Order: sequence, then structure tokens, then C-alpha cells
Amino acid sequence: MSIQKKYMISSWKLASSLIAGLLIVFILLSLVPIAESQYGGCTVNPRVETLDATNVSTTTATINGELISRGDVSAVFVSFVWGIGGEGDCCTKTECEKNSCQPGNCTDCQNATETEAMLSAGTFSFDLSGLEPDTTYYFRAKAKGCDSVCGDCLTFTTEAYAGQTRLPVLPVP
Amino acid sequence: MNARKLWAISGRMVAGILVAGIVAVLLVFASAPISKSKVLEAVYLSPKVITNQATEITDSTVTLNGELESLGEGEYVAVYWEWGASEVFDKETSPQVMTSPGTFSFHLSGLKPATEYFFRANAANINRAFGETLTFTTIK
Repeated sequence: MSIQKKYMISSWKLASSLIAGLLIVFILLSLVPIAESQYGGCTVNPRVETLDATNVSTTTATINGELISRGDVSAVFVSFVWGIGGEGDCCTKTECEKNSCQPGNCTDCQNATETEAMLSAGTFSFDLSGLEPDTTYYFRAKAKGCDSVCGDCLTFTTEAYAGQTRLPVLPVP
Repeated sequence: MNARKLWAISGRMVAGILVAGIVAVLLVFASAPISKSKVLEAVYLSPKVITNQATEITDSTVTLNGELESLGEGEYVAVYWEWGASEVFDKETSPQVMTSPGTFSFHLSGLKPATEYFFRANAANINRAFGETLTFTTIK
């Protein structure tokens, strides 16, 4: 084989390999958006837990929550829903997360606190005041990331005034 | 060219194509981990924020000013400040929640006199955006 022919074959081989390689790269790159749309978008929600209430007195209490993880978002918006118990059960987590619990249809969604922003995991709390003495309240932590997520529904009972006794609830005839 | 030579050349070509393909696959998958945030930026609107000049500068306090131009995705935006004595920004203020575009400010205290500080406004919900880095110098 002459040197000229040898070089011609080598360069042809090189060029065809490069073209094939580039073709494969383009095909794979065109598949990346498809792969990304399958796992992509905002899919990992924050994780939030409701913690026990603290500093419970006759008319005030501190309700607590913990943001365990942020999920996909850069900032998570946390709050609490709360209300007086005794009139029914808490909403389900799903109802809470879909914002379908409203005052009147469950005890834990009668009120909502202000929303705070969190940039990383950690605890958060809200001071409640003007509560009724000797009364059971329901509350749960809520976090908005990709979607809204809710912690468990917990309760606390405010202290009774000195000398205050709970009257028995009489059945309605 | 005889058949033997042709087979040898074809074999080398196939090997070359395979190697190029494997390299391409490795390159694509190696770049995959950084693509999540890029996907979020492509799919969801980012907030827009501007850093404005600092005001009310004393020897130990300052007011940082910013403007949220748009919320981006969602109804809430967390606005906060990165600041420090260098552009590394070793400090960050607590985030405040904004629900509509507008100006916002933060009063910083405990600064050193006659010192240059760097700061920039940040806005975050699904994505995070930040304004230009500006400086102020506390008075003596």
C-alpha cells in the first residue's frame, strides 16, 4: 500500500469515527430533556414535623415545628394551622396538604398563623395568645415547598384558672 | 484492496465508533447531577431582585435597600441579604416573606467604623436569584 493510500484510509477512519461519535452525543443529548422531564421539575417536597407545644399557660402557648429537609426548593414557607378541639376531628394530612380543610369542617384548620420563610432545616415556633383557659387546642405544622406538606395533628390544653373546674357536658335530650 | 484488509479496517472503525460512543455516554451522565437546578430554572420562573444603595450609614449601623421586581413562581418570596467584609459574604440576614413586588430594607448594626462592607439582595422560592453586589463604608 502506498503512503498516500495509507494516509487516506487513516483520515477516512478518523473522520468516520468522529462523525459517529458526534452523532451518538447528539442522540444522547436529545434524550436528556426526556430523562429530565421524567424525574425533573419540582418533585422533592420538604419534610416537616409538628413538635409538642411549650410554655402553655391559661391563655398563651408556644406551638413548635421542625423543618427536617427543604426538598428541591431554595426557600420553604412555614406556618401552623390550629383551632379549638371538641367539635370534631383533625383534618387528614391529605386534606391539610391540599388546603381543603377550612374553618368549620375540622378542628385544626380554624386559624392559620403568619407565614415565615426558612432557607435551611431547623425548628420554628409561633406564640399564641388570647386562648381560652382549660381548653384543648389542635395544631399542626405546615410547610410550602414544591407543594404544601403537613405534620401530625397534636394537641395541648391550656391551664385552668385557680379554682376553675370544668363543667360536665350534659347530653342534649 | 483484498477482503482481509477491508475486514481489518472495518473492525478498527467499529472499535473507534464504540470508544467514541462510550466517551459520549460517560460525558452525558457525568453532567447529569448538575442538571436538576438547571431544570428547575428552566421550568419555573425565578424571582427578580435589585440591590439598591445603602442609606443611613453611621459608624456602626446601616440600612440595606432592595427591590423585588417580580415574585417568580408561587405566592411567596423569601428576601434576605448576604453581606460581609469581603465578596465571600460570610453573613446572612434572616429571611423576610414578601407576597407582592416592592421595596424592602434591613437595618444592620454592630458594624466596625471606617470599614468597607459588601452586600447583595437575595430572593428565593423555588429558585434563588440575587442582585448586584454593592459596597458601603461605615464612617469613622
